[in-house]
Amino acid sequence: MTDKELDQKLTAAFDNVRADSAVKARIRKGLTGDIMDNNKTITVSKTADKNERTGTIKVNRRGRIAAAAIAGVIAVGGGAYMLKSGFARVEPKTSLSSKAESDSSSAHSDKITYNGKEVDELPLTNEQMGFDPSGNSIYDKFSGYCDIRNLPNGNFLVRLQTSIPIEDDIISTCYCVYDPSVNSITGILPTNDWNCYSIGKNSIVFCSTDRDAENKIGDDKGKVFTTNLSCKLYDLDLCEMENDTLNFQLGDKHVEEVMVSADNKIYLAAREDYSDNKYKLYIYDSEGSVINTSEECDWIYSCSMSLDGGFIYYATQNRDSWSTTLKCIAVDDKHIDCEHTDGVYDDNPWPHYAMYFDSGKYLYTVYYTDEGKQMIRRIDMTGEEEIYFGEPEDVINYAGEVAEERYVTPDGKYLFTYNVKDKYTEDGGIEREYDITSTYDIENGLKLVHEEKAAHFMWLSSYGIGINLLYNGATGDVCFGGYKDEDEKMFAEICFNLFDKEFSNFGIKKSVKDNNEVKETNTSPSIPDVSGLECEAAENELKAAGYTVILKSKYDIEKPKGKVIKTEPAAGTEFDTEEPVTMYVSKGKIPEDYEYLIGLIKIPEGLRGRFTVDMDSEDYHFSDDFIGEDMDGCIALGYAGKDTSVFTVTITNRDTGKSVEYYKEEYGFKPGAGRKTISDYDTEGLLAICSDEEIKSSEVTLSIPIPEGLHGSYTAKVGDERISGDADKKEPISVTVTGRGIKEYHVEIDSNETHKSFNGGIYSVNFDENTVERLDNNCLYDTDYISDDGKLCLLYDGLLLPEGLHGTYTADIISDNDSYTDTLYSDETFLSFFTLKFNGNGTQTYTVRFTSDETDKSVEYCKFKVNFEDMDLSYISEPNKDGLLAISPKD
Amino acid sequence: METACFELSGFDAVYDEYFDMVYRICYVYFHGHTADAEDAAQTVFMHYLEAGVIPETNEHTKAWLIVTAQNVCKTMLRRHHRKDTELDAASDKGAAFEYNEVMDAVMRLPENERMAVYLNLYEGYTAAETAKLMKCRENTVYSYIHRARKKLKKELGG
Repeated sequence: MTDKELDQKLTAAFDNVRADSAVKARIRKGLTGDIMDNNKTITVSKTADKNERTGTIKVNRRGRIAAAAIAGVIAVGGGAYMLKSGFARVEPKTSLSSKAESDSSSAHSDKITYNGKEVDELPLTNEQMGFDPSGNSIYDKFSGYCDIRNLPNGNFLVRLQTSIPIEDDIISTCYCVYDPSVNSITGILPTNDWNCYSIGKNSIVFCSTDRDAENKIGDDKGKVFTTNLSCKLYDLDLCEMENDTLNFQLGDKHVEEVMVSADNKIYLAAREDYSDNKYKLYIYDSEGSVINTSEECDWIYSCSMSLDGGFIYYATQNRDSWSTTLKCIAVDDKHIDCEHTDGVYDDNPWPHYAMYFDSGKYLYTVYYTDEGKQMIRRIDMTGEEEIYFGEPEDVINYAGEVAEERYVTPDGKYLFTYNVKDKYTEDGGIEREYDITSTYDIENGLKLVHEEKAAHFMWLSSYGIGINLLYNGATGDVCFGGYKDEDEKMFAEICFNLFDKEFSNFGIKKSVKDNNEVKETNTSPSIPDVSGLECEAAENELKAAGYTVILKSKYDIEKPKGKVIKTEPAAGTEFDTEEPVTMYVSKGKIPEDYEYLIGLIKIPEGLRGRFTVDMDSEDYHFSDDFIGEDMDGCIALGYAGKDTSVFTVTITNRDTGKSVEYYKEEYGFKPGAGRKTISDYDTEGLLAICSDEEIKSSEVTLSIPIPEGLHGSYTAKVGDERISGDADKKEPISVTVTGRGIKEYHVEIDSNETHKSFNGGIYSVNFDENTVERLDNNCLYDTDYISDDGKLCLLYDGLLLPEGLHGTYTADIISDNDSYTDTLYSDETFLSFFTLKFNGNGTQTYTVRFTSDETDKSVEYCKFKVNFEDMDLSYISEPNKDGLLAISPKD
Repeated sequence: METACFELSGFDAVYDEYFDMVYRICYVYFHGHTADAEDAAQTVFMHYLEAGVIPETNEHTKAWLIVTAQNVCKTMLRRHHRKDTELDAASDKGAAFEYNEVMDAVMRLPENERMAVYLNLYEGYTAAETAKLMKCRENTVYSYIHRARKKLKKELGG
């Protein structure tokens, strides 16, 4: 089934969800009869203030989805189609304004500013600002949620949402400049006013908008809106450039975009909305004069200023064709220098609109041909070069229906897109992969240089302006910041270097600047073992040992999300503190769209010792322990991935700590894809690290309680052992097992009288330490996945049911914020257990209630507490077996 | 300007225009229990009347109703659980609906996925708009829909 067929089914299903017209009428009567007369017009509220609650939900449904719907309808009739793809005209401009030449973008100043003025030192301490210079990544340095953006001079503008008491006032927002070269804040602009801002080549404009509404009285009734926009210019150090605030009176228009040119002039785009969902865009210069007005249209987007500040772009769409028209207005002479129209290519089920971006000199368009081939058009806005058409080196991944999700670095060299990657499946459908960040080298034919999943990155909500996408063109460092609800803090989610060099953390020095003294970090000879710790604790431990930490994340079946998998170099390695340590943190279980396959690799016979095998691909880690003596010349590995992945297998001797890179292969997950050796088994290397002496087997005795409901003669199966006995003696089953290392035993007990099978439990036996642990006792045995809201989803299949139960029951599993209904078919339940699933955090209390479908009677069966952190469960009230049997049908 | 400030023509118009939508949201929240959905829808419109807050455009009215409907349903569901009372008997679940199979599959989705599917795929809100209405991140909306689609396809045999 394609997505579209599914959508159609869903639409039809939802269409059928309707209250009966009698019900509708009854409710209406109930409401209006009591409170007001029918047909009475509700008084329109007097001020917009009252509207505060709704004011935050600014929803303008414009074009986009409607376009998708129209395209979809046409596609049903005649397959994919392409609307006209016209190219109107280009009028080359003689030269770009030379003002951009005298920019300050590369200049670094030593200015320290506060509240727009230059000062000797900042009046706020780092603590007051929530700034911690010892944090490793830029994100670690700031507490809470913050927006960080690149400044053209290599510094970063940080918008802190914080509460700072300043002169009897509480300041809610603080803008500050962070200079990585000195690892400190060099400018602070505390404000309660400026609620939007825009970064230009040489300056930043901060603005605040006010929207008032008042009712007209008399004959000409209605509501009148007035929007006031105040703006002020600051330089890149947050120093005021002009004393005066610029005010725009916009009447009933909405502010669409504030822009600042290279010569520090403010431009404004404002939108006028009409009742029939039509819009018109007005572009104002700093004098308040309109320099351009769009035609009336159904949708406006991509309004922005070019990187060199020479042009203002905007795109419009109309409902008749949904093709997109882009206009480029030269800011110095208001001339429309370029205007063109691109059609929408309906690539079922997603329509693809053209995407525009500019790199300073060139204006690029990514568009599609009739056949669905992605193409690039490049226009030299200086008018010197011919228009260039061609295919991009690599397909540019962008959500075709949201063509605004892209960012071009301030130097115009790299294009970042975010969100989706489409893949065509065999049945012609499209599989979408989400949260993918893709980086393209613009000057190198738009070659894809990096692609990685970033599930916590939050750029989507702020179209194309590069919030939390940190970039340094000189060093090639890139870092995506993510936000974790559970930590209420930003973190460096993905960091890499565009030039294939080591990520240098934007040149932030490893020494920590504190109280104006530079403290050299301690040196430590070996890396501490932090595996299994929470990310933050591990990072702190490594930092305490003097190391800087690069965070990377991988999926891991064993390690819960957020726990450290391992470090590189490994724990215990003597390592210079000048070099950063890479710490791998678990991203949790593999995503649902990954394949998980078991593969075997050979190991030499006669291998002695306790080993750990680690297998790594780009985004996945697998680890297992084994005893050399117990293996029959091979070990099993769990491979996870999507298409093909390269896996490196490392084997470590746990007693000596020595390890060897044993094997490297490419593993294909598609049927028939097979495996390909990249570097063959390093048998000699592995034998060189094996232990000298054979590990001896030892004996451990297990004591297994008789399961409830088992009577008379039984036979218990524990590994290869068979033990018989009489359950009525109530003596635990005692069994001795022999082995090495750690082994798991699943105990099954069969009644010799009823031939029913009982679960005797799962035991982990550690032969080295002579210990036994029951694994399934009050323990949630599986973490299914972690949902986006950070909740753990756990499965528990140990809810005991009474013997002799039959019939079908509705099970209501109820807790304060996690409830669901399930069905219990007891006759089919051979083992007397019922599986429950839980979704939550911390500790939650659950009640399980069964209702017999046959007798319609219900019983509260049990109550228990689930501790999600420890993955533990304990009963508050034990299963009411008699109660459940009492409501079951007689036969 | 007159055109920019859409004046509401009264409760009847709003009720006629949006009752089905509000009802659907409640229906989605209450796993298809019609009586609960009706109660919730009634409460939503009661809040609308009592609030005396008239959003400036139709779209705002709609958004206000969606957010209020979600809040009302969540409160009602919490209350149900606290009192440990049963929701309406499942007997009327999906009665008289032609697309039982599809709706039943939708009802088996987690609450957030259900709501995201409804707002995004049926109501036609973009992911960004859906995110605002559901008070979550846009990313989350995408993954809700992504997951929901996958589960629904599996359940509906495709």
